[in-house]
Amino acid sequence: MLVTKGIWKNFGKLSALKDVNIEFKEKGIIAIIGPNGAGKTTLVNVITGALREDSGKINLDGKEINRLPPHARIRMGISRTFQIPRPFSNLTVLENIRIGSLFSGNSNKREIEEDTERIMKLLGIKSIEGKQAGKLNTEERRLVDLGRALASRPKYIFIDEMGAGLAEGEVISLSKLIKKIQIEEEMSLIYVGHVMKLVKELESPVAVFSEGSPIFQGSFEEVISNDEIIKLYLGDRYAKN
Amino acid sequence: MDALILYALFVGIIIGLYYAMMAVGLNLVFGVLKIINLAHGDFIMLAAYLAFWLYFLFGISPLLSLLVVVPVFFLVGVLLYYTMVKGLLKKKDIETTSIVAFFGLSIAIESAAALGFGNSYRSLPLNFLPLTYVDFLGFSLSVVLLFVAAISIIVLFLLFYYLNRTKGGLSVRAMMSDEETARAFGLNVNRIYATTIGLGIAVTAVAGVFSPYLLGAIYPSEGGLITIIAFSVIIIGSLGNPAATVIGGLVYGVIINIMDIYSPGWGNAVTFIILVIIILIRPNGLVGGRVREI
Amino acid sequence: MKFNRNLKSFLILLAVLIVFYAAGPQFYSNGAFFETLAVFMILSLSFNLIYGFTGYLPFGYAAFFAIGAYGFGIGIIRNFGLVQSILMGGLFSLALGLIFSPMLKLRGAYFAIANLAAFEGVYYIISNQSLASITRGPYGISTSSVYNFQQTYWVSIGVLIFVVILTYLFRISNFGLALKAIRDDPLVASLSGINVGLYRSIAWLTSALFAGFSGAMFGWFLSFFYPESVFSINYSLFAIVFTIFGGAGTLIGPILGTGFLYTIYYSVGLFYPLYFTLIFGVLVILLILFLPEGLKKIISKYLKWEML
Ligand SMILES: Nc1ncnc2c1ncn2[C@@H]1O[C@H](COP(=O)(O)OP(=O)(O)O)[C@@H](O)[C@H]1O
Ligand SMILES: [Mg+2]
Repeated sequence: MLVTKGIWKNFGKLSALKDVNIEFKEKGIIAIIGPNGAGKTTLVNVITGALREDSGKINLDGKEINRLPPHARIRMGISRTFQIPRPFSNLTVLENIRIGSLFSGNSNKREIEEDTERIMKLLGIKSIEGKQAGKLNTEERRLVDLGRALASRPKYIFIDEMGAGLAEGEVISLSKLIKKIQIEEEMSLIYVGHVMKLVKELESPVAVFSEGSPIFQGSFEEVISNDEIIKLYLGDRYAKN
Repeated sequence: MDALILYALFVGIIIGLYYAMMAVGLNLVFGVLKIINLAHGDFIMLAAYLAFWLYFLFGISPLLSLLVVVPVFFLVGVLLYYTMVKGLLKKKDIETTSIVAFFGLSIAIESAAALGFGNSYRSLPLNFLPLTYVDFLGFSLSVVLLFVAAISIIVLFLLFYYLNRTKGGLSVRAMMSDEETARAFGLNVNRIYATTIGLGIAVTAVAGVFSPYLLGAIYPSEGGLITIIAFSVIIIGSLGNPAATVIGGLVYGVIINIMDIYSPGWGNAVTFIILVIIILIRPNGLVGGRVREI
Repeated sequence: MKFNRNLKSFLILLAVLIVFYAAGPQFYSNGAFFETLAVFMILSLSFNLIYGFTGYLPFGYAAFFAIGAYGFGIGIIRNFGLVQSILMGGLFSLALGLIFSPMLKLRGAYFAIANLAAFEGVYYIISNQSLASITRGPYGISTSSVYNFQQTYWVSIGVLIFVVILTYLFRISNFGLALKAIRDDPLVASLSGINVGLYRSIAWLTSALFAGFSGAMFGWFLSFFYPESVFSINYSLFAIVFTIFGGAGTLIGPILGTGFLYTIYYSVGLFYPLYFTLIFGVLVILLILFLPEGLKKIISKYLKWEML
């Protein structure tokens, strides 16, 4: 279990995270939604160690991981993708995925090669394995970024906004891919985003973020029938009361 | 003893003003274009040579030579922009790329100067002033120092007046604080960049003319060291904030002068070590805020 | 398959280098040329380990070279023995690398200036009159008691081959892959499990160590040197130009770059050194503006070969 306790993170006068207490189970999917600027990415940054929190605790299976650098956290099974995908642009697709596996603490050479192969096949990027990542299109970059994160055999993977800017059909196939990944790789998958359609397709529990803290947790149906959340997303006009 | 400290402080402030003028151009160029002119000190050296030859060949006094030096170096700056810097600004990693290019420029200028001017040490006369020494707290104080300090104050005043009170200066400052918005308002970016470099190098050249009185004799390879000193000054103030350079200059002037009086042999070594330490622990200087982490 | 091709290129390169340095002096009996060529190849290859693999560009790199010469020289004047003195050259430089390593947290202009300032600082310490009992201060160091050209030459070639092997390992290993990733994006590298600080430091220290050995070889060869003969920013210039010209981040690039440019320098430039630093200065500007990847780019474009 991955737990945050009372996390605060300020940028100057702005509090991007305000007393965030949230738990992630060991298996399954959970979606974190909320309007732009709610602090979702900042939470991912803090949990993975890309940013240091101002106060609060992060526990993984009862062990405090706050003080660990990012490279130690991934070895404990916490992995992520980026809202704007950031594959290593001078490396090939294959090298990008391999790096994910190579430095995740697994020293078994054969398993590293197998993991790399498996992930590339799972994401359908085997055919472009020799291409330099800097020359890929946006969609391929997303997949390579995801592949690198998956190759570390994560226990917890945070997928930040993969759905933004996709057409309807693409959203459905992406949600299928996410579900398939979770089932095949058996981890805890945290999908972070604000595309409602995708969150609906995931059929998973949802946590709603607003102004730096989670304000609601429940099923998708509960979320869309909650007045506060409708206000948050669409403005007062659409709320029932 | 007390008088010595007072004297050291006073002289430190006097030379600090000069250091501020000597470094401010580097900071202006960095503030606007985000490039470090690693050849900064070489322009000091070139301006000093120009003043030297004007004096040596035509008997023109250092003060009068400014009438030639300032416009010439302004043009040099503008030319530098259109021949080299403009191309650099199109590169991916502008900061690193430009440092490398200016490193090359610095080496090229120094070798060219050595070829053209030879390796002998040159200096300028003191007799363009009526008086050479005055008595101050029982110590003799060089009048030329006071004179150069006055020039520095005037130059710094004119520069900041231009930046803060004129239309041209405002557009330069607009580029410094928010380039994108400035572009959106239709400012002529190339012209502002060229003017900035021209201005930065012209101010530097004024410092160059008087460098023999403060930095020592003129020789072709003095530039590298001067660049580092200039950088120390602007970093003690705050990188990218020309006004803070004045504070940087004063602090540096006082430190260096006290070091010179109390432990002459180690002055240079200690200066550089202090600079490295300052960069490591407080890269945003005394005036700037804390650096944002990645 | 790719591994084998790389291995083949590598073995050919080694053979070419050995034949070149063994047979060269038979055809053109100017030992000093071959010796200094080897010294600067070591220097460029060492510089490449940090610049080519991590992207840090230390303008004050000559400090490692110089302190290497001094480590060697101090060992010799204290009669520590030849081998010990050579090792001292490397270790002095390694220690300096350690002292400098906090600079690795700086980027861009800050790193550049800090490094230049550190170079000057070390120079003023070493050449300081009050340390004359240890460093001989401004008076220079004589290593003539161990002068033996043949010996210097073959040890230099040995060190060169060692750095070539090391660079090859950097090129093909996972460690090298990690450095490439760090260069691309340090944050993502760190979030992928790479210990960025540690890996960078290893590259930095290895680079310093071998730059120190190249300085030691140089000090041995010179048999007498002043602080200014080794603490010259021109050695940074050499390393930078040779490496970028050939192709930073490759094994063959710095070797080609040094071989080509230093040969020209030696045949013409030695008599007109100022013209040459002038030309090299301009060459740096032109390279960075128009051919930042050097010969590597040309070779991959026209010969369709990714340089090892
Ligand atoms: N590195 C940063 N520096 C300053 N402000 C930041 C930084 N990262 C995020 N913010 C601010 O914190 C708030 C939360 O941002 P973010 O976590 O990206 O929101 P979300 O991912 O929910 O859209 C925003 O107001 C954003 O501008
Ligand atoms: Mg976000």
